[in-house]
Amino acid sequence: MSDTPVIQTFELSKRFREVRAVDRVSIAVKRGQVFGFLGPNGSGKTTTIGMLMGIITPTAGSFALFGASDPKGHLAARARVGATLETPNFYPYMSGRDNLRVAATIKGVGNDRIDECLEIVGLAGRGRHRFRTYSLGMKQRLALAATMLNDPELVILDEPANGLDPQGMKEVRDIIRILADRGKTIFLSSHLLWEVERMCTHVAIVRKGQVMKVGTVAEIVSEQVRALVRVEDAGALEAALADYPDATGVQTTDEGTVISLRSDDLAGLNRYLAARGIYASHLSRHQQTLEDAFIELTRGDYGSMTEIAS
Amino acid sequence: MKRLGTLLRIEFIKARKRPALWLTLGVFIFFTVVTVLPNLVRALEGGGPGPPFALPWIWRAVLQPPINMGPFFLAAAMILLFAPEFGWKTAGQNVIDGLAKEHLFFGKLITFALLLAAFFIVPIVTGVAASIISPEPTGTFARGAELNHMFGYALALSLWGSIGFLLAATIRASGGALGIMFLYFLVENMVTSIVPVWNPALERHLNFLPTQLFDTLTRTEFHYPDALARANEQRAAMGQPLLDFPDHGAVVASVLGFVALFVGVSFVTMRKRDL
Ligand SMILES: Nc1ncnc2c1ncn2[C@@H]1O[C@H](COP(=O)(O)OP(=O)(O)OP(=O)(O)O)[C@@H](O)[C@H]1O
Ligand SMILES: [Mg+2]
Repeated sequence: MSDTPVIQTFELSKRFREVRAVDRVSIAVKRGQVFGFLGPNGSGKTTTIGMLMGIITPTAGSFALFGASDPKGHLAARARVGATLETPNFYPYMSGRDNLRVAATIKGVGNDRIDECLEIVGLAGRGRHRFRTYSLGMKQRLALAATMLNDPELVILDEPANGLDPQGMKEVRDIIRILADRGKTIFLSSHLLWEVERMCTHVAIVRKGQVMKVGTVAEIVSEQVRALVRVEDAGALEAALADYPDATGVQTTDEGTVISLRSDDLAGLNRYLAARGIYASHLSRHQQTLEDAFIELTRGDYGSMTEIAS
Repeated sequence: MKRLGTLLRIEFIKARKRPALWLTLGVFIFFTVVTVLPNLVRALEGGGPGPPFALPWIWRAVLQPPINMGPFFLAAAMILLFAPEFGWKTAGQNVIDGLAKEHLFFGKLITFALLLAAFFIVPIVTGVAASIISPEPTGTFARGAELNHMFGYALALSLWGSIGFLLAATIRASGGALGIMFLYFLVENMVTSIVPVWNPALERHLNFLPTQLFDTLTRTEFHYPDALARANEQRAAMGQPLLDFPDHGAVVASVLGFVALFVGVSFVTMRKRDL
């Protein structure tokens, strides 16, 4: 096995008139990784995947699939990829089975794989029904079946859990895990962060088309010591912290106030607060979740939504 | 070769279940049969005046209105078949699955050719069958004038089929594409009736617009000398300018030019567009 990345992008960019949907994205996905591509709505996830799959022409930059960076190489590489984009795109008037027959013909695989894949995604009983009559979750399942037809080395999924019930999500997770265990490389976009945290080995967080951070899940979430503090008067706490030299950031969450610290000295923090008459009902080391990291990195994007709501 | 097989197979899987295709083809077959039937009945009852209702004379009766409307049926079938595929984004999925955009386009081109063949064969088979049933004496399959007539019909099919292709590829919604096609009819007819009033010298050039070309290609007057002579007798009596056979070379060249242009533009649009 070579060390060539399965996916590598070089300053990949796409502009739609004045919108920079994807802005100089450079990432590398290595063989065997489960790579989560995370970002808020409109951050360019689908556009990036569209470019990798040859249906959107980049305005600048380039990318390599299995080391191939020319159009011919991309086409050949796509035979080793299984992918779906955003909403499942199938012929509405044809049955799920016939839709898979079209995909299987393009991929050059036999019809026996079709039943196998329908079985895996739990659609075996509905394969003869028209795609139009499927529920959203069933459409997603069919899309998943289509990606698996050619037993791909790289699976690219755009919001695979979109529209699935908890049972379906668990099944998708199980399928992804099985594929990962078999050594497949998986690239998936999502905003269901707790889902991703449980599955991914690596993540990239994107915002407004730019990669904010990329690394292993552990690298992204635990770079900083944090303390979770609950007090009666959060305002007084924040005011007091303004003078605390060790604090680098304060964030109010549903759980309490999260303080980013320069050092590991929680006892020192407690002493400092008590000296100012602030007594914590709760003080603990806070393990940042991927969701926290995500919110922090993409803060501001949802601001307008809450402003409208309030 | 393997790729051609793949393209044919997927186009077949898709077309088989498309009501739009079978409906347009079915309606066209129905009209063809219904148009030929009265002639056939008359022939069976002893025949009327005029040439026998059998090969080769039969073509003149078969390839007349409304059967000569085949090109418009073909255009509609192309639009109904192709336009939604782009709207459904299934073309994008085909590319994701490993089909190059060029292959995708080639697959559409093959379907176009097959449909064109179908719309050509329907009146031909109907004519031959009617001739076999008809008791009137049969001659050769076709002579120069009839072959010309068939060739004109085939060219009209190519021209309007490629217009349907272009509209489907650029507008990507069958309703809108059909609407624009009808709007174009109206506009072209208005232009060809108004412009010559202002500038008679332009009339010659207007004859090379698609609807006028269709007329030229399928009109009996432009294929059979006696039909032309009869038409000109009437025109002379009414004081209208006389008709003449069109310049075949110019007509054929302009039709082929249009077809190449429309197919070419469809290809470029599709290749440039994000699917
Ligand atoms: N065809 C298009 N024309 C114009 N702008 C587009 C087009 N497709 C995407 N965009 C814009 O590009 C940006 C990125 O869109 P994209 O669909 O890639 O986001 P996303 O990360 O997939 O979002 P979501 O999580 O909502 O699916 C958005 O601002 C979007 O409006
Ligand atoms: Mg998206």
